[in-house]
Amino acid sequence: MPRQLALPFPHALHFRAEEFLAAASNAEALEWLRNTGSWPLGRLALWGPEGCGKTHLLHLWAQQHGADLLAGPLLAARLPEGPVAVDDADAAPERPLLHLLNAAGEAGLPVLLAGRAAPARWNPALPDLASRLRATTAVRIGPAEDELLRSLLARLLAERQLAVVEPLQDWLRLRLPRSQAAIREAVARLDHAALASGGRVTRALAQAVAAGLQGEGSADWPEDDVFANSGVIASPGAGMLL
Amino acid sequence: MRFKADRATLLKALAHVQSVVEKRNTIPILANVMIAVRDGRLTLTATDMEIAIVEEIAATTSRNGAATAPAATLYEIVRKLPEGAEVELEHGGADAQLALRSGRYATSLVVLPTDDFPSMTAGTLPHRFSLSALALRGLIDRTRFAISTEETRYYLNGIYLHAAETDGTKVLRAVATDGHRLARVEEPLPDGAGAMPGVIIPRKTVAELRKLLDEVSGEVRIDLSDTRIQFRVDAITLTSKLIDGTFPEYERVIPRDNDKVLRVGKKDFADAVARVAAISSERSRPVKLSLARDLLVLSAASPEQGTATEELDADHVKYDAGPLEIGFQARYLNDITDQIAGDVEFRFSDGAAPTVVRDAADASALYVLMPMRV
Amino acid sequence: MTAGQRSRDEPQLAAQWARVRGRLQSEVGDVEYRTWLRQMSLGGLDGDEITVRLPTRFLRDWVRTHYGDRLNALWQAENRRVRRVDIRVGGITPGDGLAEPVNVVEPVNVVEPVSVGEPVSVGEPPPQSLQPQSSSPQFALPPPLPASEPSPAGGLPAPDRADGRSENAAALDPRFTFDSFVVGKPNEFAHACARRVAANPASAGFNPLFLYGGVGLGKTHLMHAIAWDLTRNGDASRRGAPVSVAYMSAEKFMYRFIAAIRSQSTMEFKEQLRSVDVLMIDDLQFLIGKDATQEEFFHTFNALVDAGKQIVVSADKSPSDLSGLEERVRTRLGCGMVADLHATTFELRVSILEAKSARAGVPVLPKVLEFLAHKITSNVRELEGALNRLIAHANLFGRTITLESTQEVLHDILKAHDRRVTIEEIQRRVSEHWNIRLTDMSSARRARNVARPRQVAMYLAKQLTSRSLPEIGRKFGNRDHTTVMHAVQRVGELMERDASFAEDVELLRRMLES
Repeated sequence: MPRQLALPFPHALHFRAEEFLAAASNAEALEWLRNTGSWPLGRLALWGPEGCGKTHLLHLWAQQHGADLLAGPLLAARLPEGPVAVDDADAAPERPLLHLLNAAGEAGLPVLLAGRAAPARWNPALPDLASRLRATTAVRIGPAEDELLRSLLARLLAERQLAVVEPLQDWLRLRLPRSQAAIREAVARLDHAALASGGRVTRALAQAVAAGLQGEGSADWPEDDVFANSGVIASPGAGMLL
Repeated sequence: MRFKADRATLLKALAHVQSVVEKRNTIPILANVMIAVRDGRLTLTATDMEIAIVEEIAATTSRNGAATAPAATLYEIVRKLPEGAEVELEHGGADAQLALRSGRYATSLVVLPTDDFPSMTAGTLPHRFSLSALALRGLIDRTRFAISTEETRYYLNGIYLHAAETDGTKVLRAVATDGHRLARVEEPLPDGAGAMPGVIIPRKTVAELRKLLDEVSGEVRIDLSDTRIQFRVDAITLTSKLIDGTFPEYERVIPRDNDKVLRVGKKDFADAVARVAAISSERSRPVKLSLARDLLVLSAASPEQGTATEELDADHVKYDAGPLEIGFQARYLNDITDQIAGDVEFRFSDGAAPTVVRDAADASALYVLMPMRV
Repeated sequence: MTAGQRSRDEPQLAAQWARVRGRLQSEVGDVEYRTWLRQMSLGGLDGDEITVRLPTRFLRDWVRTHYGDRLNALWQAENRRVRRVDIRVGGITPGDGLAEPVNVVEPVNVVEPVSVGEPVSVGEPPPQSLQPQSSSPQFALPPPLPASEPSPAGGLPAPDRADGRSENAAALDPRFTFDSFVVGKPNEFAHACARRVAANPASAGFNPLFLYGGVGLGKTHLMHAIAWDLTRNGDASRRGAPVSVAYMSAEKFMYRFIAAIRSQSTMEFKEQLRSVDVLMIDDLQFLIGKDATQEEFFHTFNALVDAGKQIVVSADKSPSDLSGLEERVRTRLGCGMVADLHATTFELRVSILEAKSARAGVPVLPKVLEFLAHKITSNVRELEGALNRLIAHANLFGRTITLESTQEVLHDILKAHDRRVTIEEIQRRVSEHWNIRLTDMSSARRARNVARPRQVAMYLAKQLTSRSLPEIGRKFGNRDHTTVMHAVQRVGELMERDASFAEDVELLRRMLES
C-alpha cells in the first residue's frame, strides 16, 4: 500500500527549569544538584534508565553554573575551563574521562556525570578510572510514579503542540510500559504517525502505537531525537571541550 | 434606533457579516448581527468570538440606538427585496422587536439584548503596515491550499505571516503546511512590518479576509500584536485572534541541494495528471512520475480499474539528470500546479525526499511536496 | 476600549485578579496551586475576554484542561464584563536553573528517618571538604582561587594562564598532607621514603623516588604531601631554603607538551620544567605508547638529575614491569629508591576511616566503620569515597548515619549488580512463598488461599517492573487491567492493616530485589 510521507520537521528539544517534573523519584537528585558545594570531591553522578530526566537535570545544572555540557561519547581530552557536566558519561572514552576527572579535581571544578547505571557498574578497563568512579557519589533517579508519567505525557504532547484530550491520554498511558522512555517514544511515534496520516490523533492511532511498544518492557529504547541532531548538546559557557 | 439605507448597500454589508456568524453555534446571540446607530453612523457587527467583523455603511439615520437580530434571516429578507428598494429599520429599545419596512413590506424580528452581544476588541496593536489588496490576495491564494484542516495539530491551522529575508532582500512571507506539502510565498516587506512578530492567522480568518478582498483593489491596512490581527478594507474592519502556537522551523525542510531538475508546461502536466489519475477514484492513490532524459512518463494503477500511463517527451519536458521514479498524490500535484501560470519547475532529490516545485517564471513562490512511498 | 479606559481599569483588574487567584488557591490547595497555577499572569481585558498567560505550552494546556472552567466561573463572578478567559502562552519570563520545577507528586520526605541503630549526631560539614559550603546563593560555587594566592608549588613562573596560576603547579589537594596520611603496615615503607625526600630532597639513594602500587592506595597522596611539606617548610637540609616544586600527572605533562609543540613554544616548556627543584610526575604509565612525550620526559629527567634536582615518579607497576617504556627510561627510573604501596589490611582500613571521620568532625559508629572496612577492600580511594558519601548525604538530608542508611546510600557499590525483575520470577517466588502451584497465578480459581498470593504477585509486578497494567493482567491468565488495579489497591490496604502480611510482602520484595 503506498504511503504518504511527512515533511521531516525537526522537533526542537528544550530543557527549562519550570518544565522539569519534580517527584519523589527524583527529589534526592534535585537536592544534590541544588547543593553543589556538598558533593564529595566535587563530583556527582546521576543514574537511572533512559528518559528519566538526567539530561534535563544536566541542562538545568549547567545553566545554573555556566558549566560546559558535553556528550560523553564525544568526550575528548582538554583542560576544563569551568564546571563540567557530561551526559552519557558511561559511553565516554575512558582516558578523556579520567583526564577530565583529574584535571577538574586539580582545578577545584565540580563535575556532574550522568549514565544509565551507577558509575560503580560502568566497568571501565582503566583501573584508575574505575576506582574514581566507584568513589564518586552516585544518586539514583527512581522509577517514575504514575502521576509523573501522566504529567510527562501531557508535557511531551504540549511540546509537540498536539491537542489530545485527556481521556485519550489516560487510555494510552495505561497501555504503555510504565517508564519515561516508553512515554517519550510513544509521543514521538504518535506525532510522526499522525503527521503522515494527515489525520487526528485517534484511539486507533494510539492503539497502534501502544501495540508497537507493548512487551518491549523497560528494555532500552531506540534513541529518540534527543541526541539525533548532533553531539553538541548545548554550550552555555565559552569553550566547548569537544 | 432608526435609519434608512438602500437595499444594495445593506445587502452587501449583511453578506459580509453573516458569513462570519458561526452557523452551528450553540450560543444564540452569536447568530445575530448587531446593528448600531451612533452619531449619524451606522455599523453592522458580527462575531464568532474568534473573529469580529465591523462594517460601516451609508445610511440616513434619524435616531441613535442598537439592536441584535438573526443575521441569516435578516440577510434572506433583504436579499428578497426588490432591487433599488429603500429599507427602513427601527428599534424602540429594550426588548421591543426590530421593525423592518420597505415599500409595502413590513416585518418585525425578535431581538436579543445588546448587552449579551460579545464584544471583541483588539487591545493594543503595536505593529502597523499596509499592503495592496492584490499583493495580499497573492499571498493568500498561493498558500491557503496547504493549510492543515486537522485540528489536533492546531499550530498548522493557519497561514504563518512573518518578516524574513531572501537573498539579502527583506520580505513579508506567508507560509502554510499540512505536513505533506508546504507553500512559501513572499512580497517585498512593507514599511512598518520589519519588527512584527511571526503570527499564525487562523484558516477561517483567511477565508473571510479573502472574500472581502474580491471586492476591493486599494490598500489593506494591517495592525497586529502577538495575539490579535486587524485588517481594514474600505469601511470594513476584520479583527481576529491569532493561533497560540509556534510554527515549525519550515526552512529546515526546504531542500537546498535538489539537483534533478524537470521543466514541464503547466497545462501539459496538469492535464496529463488529471487523465492518468482518473483511473482511480481513491483520493490518496499516487501518480507515479518516471523520469529519463527529456522524458516523463506518468502512470497510475488501481487494483479494481486497471492502469493508465501518459508520456511527455522532449517536445514537452526538459530533464537531463539520471533516471528517477517518484510518486505523489494527484490532488497535491494539482493544488500546486493550480498556482502556476507558465512552466513548472520540479527539483528532485530521490523518491523518498522532499521535492521543490516552483513557477519557472516567478521566484516569489516556492512549494515543497513530500512523495508517497510506492 | 480606549487606552484611557484601559489604564483606569487596571488597578481594579489587578485587585480582581488577586481575588480570583486567592479563591482558586483555597479551592485547590496550596500544593496544587504552587505546582500548576503559581506562574499564571494576567494578560488584560479585551472586550469581554480576559487573557491569562502561562510561561510554557505544557502549563497552558494543563491549566486549560484542569482549571479552565474554574477560572472562567471565578472571573465571571468577579467582573460582570468578563465572559470568557483565554489561556495563552506568555507572561512571566522563564527563569533558569533548578529553582522552580513543576512538582507533579506532592513533595514527600524522600528519606524517612531511620529508627534502628544508635543515632549519631551529624555535625558541621567536613572542614576539609573540597567544595566548602557557601553561605549565600544556594548554588554558588566556591570562587576560583584569587590570583594573589601564593602558588603552593612555589617559585615557578606563571606564564600564560589568565587566572595567574602556574600550569606547572597543579593545585595541590589541601587534604593530601603527611598529617592526613594514615600509616599502616602496607604503606609504611613508602611513607618513610616520602618523608625522607621531603626532609632532604635530592639526597643520595632517594633520587628518583619511584612510588608504585595499585590504584587508590595513596601514591598521589604521598606526592602531594611531599610537595606541601617542601612548599611550606622549604628544604630542611638547607635551613629552609625555598624550593620550587612542579607536580603534574603524566597525562597533563603530555597535554602540555603537545600544546607547546602546537604553539611552537617547546623551548619555554623545557625551560620551565628544568628550572624547578623538584619535579613530580604522577601515573607515569600513561606515557606508555607516547614515544615523543616519553623522549621529552627522559631528557627533562636527565637534565634535572644531572643538575642535582629531585624527581618523584609514581606508576601502577614497578619500573621493571612497565613494559611499554623504553629500556633506558626504565633503568633510570629504577636507579634511585623504589617503594611500593600494598593493598590495605582490615586494620589499616579501619584506622583510615577513623582518622577521616575524626577529621571531618563527624563521629561515625564503629560498627559502620567496620562494616565499610569489611565491605570495601579494593583501595583507599573507594573506601574514603564511601565515607565521604555517607557524611555528605547525612549532612544534606539531615540524617544520622546508621548501618541501615549506610546500606541504602551505598547500595550501588555494596551490591554486586542491579537486577531487572521479571513477572515470571515474581510469580514463581510468590507461589513458593505461599506454597501454591505456579499455574494458579494464571488460573481462574478464586479461593482466597490462591487469590491473595496472586494479588500480591500483581502488586509486586506493578512495583518492581515497568510493565503496563494490561500487560501484567495478560500474564496473570489474561485478566483485565482493572483486576490488576484492584489487586494493587487491595494489597496496599491490607499491608496497612495487617503488619504480618506487610512483612511477608516486604520480605518477598527484598528477595526479588536482591
